[in-house]
Amino acid sequence: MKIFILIILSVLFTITNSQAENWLQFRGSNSNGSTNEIEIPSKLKQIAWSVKLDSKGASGPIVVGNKVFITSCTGFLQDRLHIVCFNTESGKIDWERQFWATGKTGCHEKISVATPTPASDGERIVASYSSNDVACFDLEGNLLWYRGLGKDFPDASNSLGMSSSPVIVEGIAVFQVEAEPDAYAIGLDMKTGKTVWKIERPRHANWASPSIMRGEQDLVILPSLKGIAAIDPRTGYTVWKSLDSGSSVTSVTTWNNHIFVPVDGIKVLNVSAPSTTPELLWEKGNISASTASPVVYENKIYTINGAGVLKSSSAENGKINWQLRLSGGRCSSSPIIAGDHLFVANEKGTLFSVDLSGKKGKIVGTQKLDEMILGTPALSSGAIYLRSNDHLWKITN
Amino acid sequence: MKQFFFLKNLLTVLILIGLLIPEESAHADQIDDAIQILLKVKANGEGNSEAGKALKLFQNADQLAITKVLKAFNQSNDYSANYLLAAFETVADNMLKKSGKLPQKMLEHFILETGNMPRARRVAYEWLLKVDPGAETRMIPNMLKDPSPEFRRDSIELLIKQGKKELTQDKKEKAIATFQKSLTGAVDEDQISKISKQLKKLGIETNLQKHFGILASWKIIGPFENREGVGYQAVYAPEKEIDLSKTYDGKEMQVKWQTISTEDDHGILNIAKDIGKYKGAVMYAVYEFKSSQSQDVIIKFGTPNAWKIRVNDELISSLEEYHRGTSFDQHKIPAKFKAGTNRILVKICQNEQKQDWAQQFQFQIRVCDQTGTAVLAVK
Repeated sequence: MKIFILIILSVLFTITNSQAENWLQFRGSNSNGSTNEIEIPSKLKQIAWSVKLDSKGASGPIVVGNKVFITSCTGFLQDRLHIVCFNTESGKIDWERQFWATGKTGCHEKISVATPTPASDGERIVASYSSNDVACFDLEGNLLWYRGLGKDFPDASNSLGMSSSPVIVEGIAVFQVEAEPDAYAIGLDMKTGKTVWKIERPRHANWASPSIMRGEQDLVILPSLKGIAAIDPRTGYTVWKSLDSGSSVTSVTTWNNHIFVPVDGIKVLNVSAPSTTPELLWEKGNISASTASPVVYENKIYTINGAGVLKSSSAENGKINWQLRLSGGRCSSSPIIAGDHLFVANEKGTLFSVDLSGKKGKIVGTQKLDEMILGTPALSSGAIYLRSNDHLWKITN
Repeated sequence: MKQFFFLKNLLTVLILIGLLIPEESAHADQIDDAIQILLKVKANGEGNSEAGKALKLFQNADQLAITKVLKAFNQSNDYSANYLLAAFETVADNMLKKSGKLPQKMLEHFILETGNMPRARRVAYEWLLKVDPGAETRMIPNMLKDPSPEFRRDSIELLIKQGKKELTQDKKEKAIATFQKSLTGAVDEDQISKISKQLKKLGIETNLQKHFGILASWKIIGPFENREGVGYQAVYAPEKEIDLSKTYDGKEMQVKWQTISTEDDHGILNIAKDIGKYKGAVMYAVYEFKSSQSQDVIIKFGTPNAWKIRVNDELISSLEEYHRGTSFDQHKIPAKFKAGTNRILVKICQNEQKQDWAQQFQFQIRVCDQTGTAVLAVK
C-alpha cells in the first residue's frame, strides 16, 4: 500500500511541480544568474510573507516546486547543521532536519558555517557547509546519504570559513574544497553519495564557486587564484586550463560560449569547442566586480563594484554603457536577472529591482529589509526569496 | 486546466483511501538490524549505500525505534551518529505529526542519564520541549556540571540572569555567590569572560589563566629558516632532541632556549613582541606538563601561524595555514597524557607576507578534559 501511495504522490508532485519554476542552485539553475524563463516581481511591491529564523546562515535559498529550502546552523560552535524546507505559498515549515558537523566550524564572524548555497537536481537536495559536511535529502526530508568530507580530509579547511557552493550536472554534485593546507574538487553521485572522482587543486584559499558551462558536453568551470580549469563533471578529467590568475572570492559567469572571469577587471574567454582551450576575447580593467559575481544578459555584462555601483557594459567588447549607484554600498549577494530586470540586495538589507530595458538602468522597485543580506536571492513564479541570519522573505508584486 | 484539477482531486481521494489502511510498524528485530547497518557507516562514505536503504525502515517506525536508536548513539562514530540522528528525527517527526505525542518519560530518562552521548541527549531534550515545555525549568538548573556543553551553557545562563536580578534587588552578597557558582560550571570563553566581568564589578578578581587551564610559561628556541615555507616540512634540531642546555645553528645566528611567558588572561604568547618580529621563521616551544594520572585530554590551541604539535614525541596534529584569523580554542586536539611528565612541543611557523594583517606571530594553548573543564598540572 505504501508503494501505491508513493507512486500516486510522485505523479501528483510531478503534475504540481511542473506548474512552478525552479531555482535549483547558487545563481539559478544554470548557475550564471540569468534566465528568461521565470516570471518576476518587477516592482517588489509587497512582502508576501516573512519567517523568523531561529538558526543563522549566509547561504541563499533555492526553490523546487512549491518548496523553498535554506541551510542554517545553530550552537555556540555553529556545529549543528540544519536544512529547512518551507512551503512557498504559506511560508510554513514543511520539514527541518539537522546533523552534526564533523569538520572544523571556525569562521569569520560576518559569515557562518551555513554559507554555501544548497543545490537540487529537482528530486533531491544536497546541502553543504563550511565544515565540509554534505547531506542529501529527498524532497520529503528523508536523508538519502551523508558525507563527512571535513573529517575525511581535515586539512582542506580555512579558519575564515569556506563558502563555495556546489553545482549539479548529469547526476553528479561537484564541490570545490580549496584551502592552503589541502585543496581538491570532488564529484559525488547524487543518488548514493559515492565519490565518482576526486582531483587535486591548487593549494590556495578559495571561496568562489564552480559554474556550469552548458553545451554539447556540459563542463564545470573551476575558478582559483591560479586561473580557471574546465572539467568533465562525469569524470573529473581536466579538459583545459586557462589564464594564470583569477579571483578566489568572485565566481566566473558563463554565457553562451563565453566565460567572464573577474580578475584585474574582467577577462572574457571564448570557448569555440568544449575540448579546446579557450582564447582571450577581450579584457577591461575598468569594469571590476567585487564580491558579487558578474551577470550577463542580452549581450551585456553587469558588474557591481565594492562601492555598490552597478555598471552595464557590452559583452562584446567591455565598453561601458551606463552606471548606476545603488544606495547603501557594498553587495556581497550576487545580482540575478530575469525578464529585463536585475535584482540585487546590498549588505545593509535593501533589495533593488533595476529595469534594464531602457537606454539606462532605472531602479523601479526597492524593499528595505534592514538586515544584513549576504546570500544570493532565488526567483520563482513571480516571487523573489531571500534571507538574512534572522529572516526568510518572499517578495512579490 | 480542468483536466488537471480533476486528475489532482482524483489522486487526492485515492491517497486518502490509501492512508486509511493501517501500515504495519517495523518489528523489533528489523529495527535492530537497521541500526546495526547504520552503525557500520565509516569514513569516505563506507557503508552509505546500505545505510541509505536501512533508513527507509524508520519512515514507518514508532516509539520502540526511538528507544533503540537513542541507545545506539553510545556505539556510534561521527559518521554513523548522523545516520542515527536522521533515523531518530524521522520517527519523532512522524509521531509528532500523527499523534502530537512523543514518549516523554523515556526521553527524559535518556536525557538525565549523563553517561549517554551528550549530543544525543541534547537533541532528545529539544524534542521533549516540543511536547513538554516545562522540562526546561525542571531540568536545566541541575545541569551546571553536565557533561554536555550545551546543557551547561543553558544552566549557566540561568544563573547569570539570576545574579543580575539579585543585583537589581540590592542583594550584592547573594549575587556574588550566584556568579561564583555559575563560574564553577563555565567552560566556554564567552561565558567565563561575562561572569568574571560581573565579579570584577563586585570587587572579586578571577584567575582566568587558572580557570582556562592556560599553559603560560614555555621554553622557546629559534628562529630557524622558513623562507618560501621550507621550514614547515624541515626537521630542525628540536624535533630530534630536546636539550635545553644546547645551542644550535639558527636562521641568522646561533640560537638557544629561552623562557617566554604571558600574563595575558587568554594566554597569548606573543613571539613577535617578546622574542622578535621574525619573518620566514620557525620557532619551537616546549612545555613539560606533569599529569596526576594517565588521562585523555583536549589540547585547545589558537594561532594565526602554521603549526605542528607533538606530545611525548608523537605528532598529534598540524596545519599549514597562515594568517586566516585566530581565535580562542581555535583548534581542539585530542591527546593522551601519561601519569607523570608529558612533553608538549609546539612548532610554530611565520611566513613572509608583508600586509599589516599578516604580522602576528603568536599562539595560545590550554589543556581541558572532555567537557572543556581545565586540567591543571600537578607540581
